[in-house]
Amino acid sequence: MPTFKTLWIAVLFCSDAQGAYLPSSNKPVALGVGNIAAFKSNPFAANNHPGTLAFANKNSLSLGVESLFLVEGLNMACLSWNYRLNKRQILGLGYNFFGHSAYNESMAKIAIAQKLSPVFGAGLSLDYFRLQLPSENFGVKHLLSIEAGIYASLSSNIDFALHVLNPFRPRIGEYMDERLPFVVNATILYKPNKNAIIASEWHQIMNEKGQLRAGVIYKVSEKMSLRGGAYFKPINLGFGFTYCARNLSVHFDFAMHPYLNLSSAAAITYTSTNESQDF
Amino acid sequence: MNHKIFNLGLIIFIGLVFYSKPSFSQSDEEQLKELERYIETRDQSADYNDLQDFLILKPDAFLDINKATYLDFLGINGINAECVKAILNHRRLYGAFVSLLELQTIDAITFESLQLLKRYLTLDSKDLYFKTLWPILKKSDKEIMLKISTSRPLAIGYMPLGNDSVPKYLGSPNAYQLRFRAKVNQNIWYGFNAEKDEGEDFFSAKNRQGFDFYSAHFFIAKRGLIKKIAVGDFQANFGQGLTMSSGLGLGKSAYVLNVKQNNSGLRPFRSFNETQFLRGVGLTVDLKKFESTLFVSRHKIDATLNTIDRDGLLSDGISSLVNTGWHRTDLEKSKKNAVLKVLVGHNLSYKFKTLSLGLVNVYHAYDKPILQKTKLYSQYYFSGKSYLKSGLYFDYWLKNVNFFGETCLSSFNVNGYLVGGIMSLAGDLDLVMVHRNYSKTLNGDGLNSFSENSNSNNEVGTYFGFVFKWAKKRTFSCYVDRYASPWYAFNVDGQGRGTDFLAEYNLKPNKSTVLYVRFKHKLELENNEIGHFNELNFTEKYSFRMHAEAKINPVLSLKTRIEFSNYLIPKNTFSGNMIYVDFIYHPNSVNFSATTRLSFFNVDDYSARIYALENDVLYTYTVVGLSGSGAKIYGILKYKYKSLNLQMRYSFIRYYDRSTIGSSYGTVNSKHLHEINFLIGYAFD
Repeated sequence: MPTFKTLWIAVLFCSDAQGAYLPSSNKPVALGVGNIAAFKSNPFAANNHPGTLAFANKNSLSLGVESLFLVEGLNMACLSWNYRLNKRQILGLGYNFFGHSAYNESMAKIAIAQKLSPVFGAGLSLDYFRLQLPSENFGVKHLLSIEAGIYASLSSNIDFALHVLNPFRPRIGEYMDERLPFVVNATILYKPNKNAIIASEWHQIMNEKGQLRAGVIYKVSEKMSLRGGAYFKPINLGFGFTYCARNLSVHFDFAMHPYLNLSSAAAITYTSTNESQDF
Repeated sequence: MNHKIFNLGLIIFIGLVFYSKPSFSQSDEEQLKELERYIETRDQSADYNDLQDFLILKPDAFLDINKATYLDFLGINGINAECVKAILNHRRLYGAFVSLLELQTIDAITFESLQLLKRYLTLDSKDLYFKTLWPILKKSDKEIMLKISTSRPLAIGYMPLGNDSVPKYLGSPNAYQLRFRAKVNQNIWYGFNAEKDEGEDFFSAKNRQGFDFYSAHFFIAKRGLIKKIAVGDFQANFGQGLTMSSGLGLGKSAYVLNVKQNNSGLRPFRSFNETQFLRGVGLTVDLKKFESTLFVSRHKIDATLNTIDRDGLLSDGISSLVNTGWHRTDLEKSKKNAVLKVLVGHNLSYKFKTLSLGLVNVYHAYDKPILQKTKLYSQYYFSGKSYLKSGLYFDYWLKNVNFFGETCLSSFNVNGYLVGGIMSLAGDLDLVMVHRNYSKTLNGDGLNSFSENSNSNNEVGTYFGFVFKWAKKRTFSCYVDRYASPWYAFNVDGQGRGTDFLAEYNLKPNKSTVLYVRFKHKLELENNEIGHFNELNFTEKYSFRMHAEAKINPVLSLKTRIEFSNYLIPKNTFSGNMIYVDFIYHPNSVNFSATTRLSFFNVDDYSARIYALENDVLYTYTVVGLSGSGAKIYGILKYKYKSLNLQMRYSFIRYYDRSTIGSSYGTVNSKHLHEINFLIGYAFD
């Protein structure tokens, strides 16, 4: 069990490097693609991007784990369930957990997304956030927040996605008026051909420096896709792959931080049908 | 305008209201887009309604597509020679146009060219014939509208401050705009505007006339000997705007080729810009190859008066002209209508084949002397009570090349010139070049010629640009402008110089989608941070923009933009970014539309601010310079029921890096600001 001080320093580093509170960056599949989650194929859309959830074309259940910087105690787990209510509406349920018994953050989400046209979808998520710190200093905090996202195909090969988190910035503590950060992710995606997609994302926490992210996914075959990406300042490189076997898919991702070492993630997804999912 | 004229105007106006039938004209998204491309690169916020009129209101530019000549077509700003040749070729091969939609079948005409041509071309050029005025007035399309705006929380100017028992602002936080417009075809315009800005008093003891600003215009444009008649408020623009140009002018913009001012003489003034217009009468006479315009303007303008010690002699005069239009406090009111300005001008132009020549003379006079030489950079500014300016301009087409230029001389030794050329090469490539040389003494009113600075003086520069189009979908535009200021200028204590660069790649994959990326860079010498005299440093500002708009279903359009800016000064860098998304809901079947914008911005400093044009209720355009860290949302609802037009705009801005908004008496002690605009309009015949 690492000391609390070690963990807390690591948490602060993570927050700075990842540019968001940790549950928001709990993205097993996104880790290998520069932390960009705005892909239609992201099985954790309910957790990471309600806009792309609108384009999930099958029911799925995903479970992922992530280990940050090989530090014991900086592990995360997440669960995501996408359920198609009808041809246009998707219900998403997500759960994230980060930390250990002394300090942990967990988030439960319920998202509803709708495809408003073949090229445009929007989603809204209600988030419950629970934060636990040693009781003598902080105690347990319960917060409610919202997320919203859109995904639009602007032309046959250019898409745009926007994700807004915590626009009302719920207050975590009185001291220093600490609040959940207001985060905006704007993503432009370019499909040079039917097997590849290139994405560039601007990640912005209000009143802080923004971060540029870039990534690419390449579908080697119907069963296998590779991905790679980076986010900058400091540059953090990542790569990953997904392998599909009938209704099951497995995802492995790795990312290298220049100062904080390696992070890795693994996830498994079960889908109701084995029809292919668009990027 | 005095009380009697106002009452008379009001009576005429009320009388006209009761002769009514429904019809309504409305500005559209296309006009907004065009206006934005003209003004977005300007680092200023202003009332752009007059500029919009400048772009769309061409009293003598309505052309019969079946009769217009090569030169007539070329007179339309933005239409190149290849495009004109294609139209004439089509007319020769297939005979007269039966519909303007036929233009779509011509390959050389792009979507933008088509929009421009549709605005100026007609199939029916029958001129209005009238013997008496009254039947015409009855026949006109009229619209009346009232706009009310307010914001909350209130600024400190509305509250008693310190030891004061009364607020600094004399009036309420509500702003009112009353507008009446009427027109008959493209021949007659008349109307009436009245405005009260927020904080200005309204029907109070200090302001018995009610609104703070009144404007009225009556304008006739027709074929025949008497070509134009302007009575009331109007604008006058001639040549390249170096000698006489009232109102806002066009400068550098994303329309790289549109550097030539296609000034068309007199036009009506219909906006709420309280300073840049003429008030009086104007007349244009058409003598076939010659055209003569005479105009007289006389009205009071705002100014700061001061007593200045000049060589031991104390003299009263104008230390600066004020063009804000604000009259909210006693101090601002004391500057209102402080000076009487008289302007008399004459223009004579001559057209022969592809050559146009013009001579313009303008006499400016003030009832108090201008004494502006208070700063080093203003040492060569005009001082005195009157001056005469004369300009000579030309416009000449030689095959695919259009040459234009103007030179200006004056009674107080001002001089300057501008020459330029626009060349169309094989339809795919257009080139433009402009060289200007404005002396340090060239200043005064009525200058709107092409320049880097808002004042066309103390500048030598060369502008080069090109537009390359291929595959009808892709356009690459670029310009470079190098300029220098031989004498001291504002914030430049020395000889300044700079370079301005813009490059844009524009892609239109289909009719409803537009994508572009733009890079803009500006490098110039300015005073250093510490402000040591004559110590100049280079400052650098660059911005990168990605913009996309697409129709995502038959009733919903999406527009989004991501923009980054950087401002570099020695030992410091300020950066910023802005993201916005617009949703435009416009069902075809109902007279209802809704627009909303979500924008997020993070800008370190005001110097790196990012400008964006915001949509608003009818005839209102807001350019905002975003700085700080915050989010803004606005929504506009528009509903039209027969002749009734109802529009509402609500905006909310929230900052995360500050606890106050604004400055001086306009400071709001809050992190957020709500603004609401409401417009009600009624249209009738």
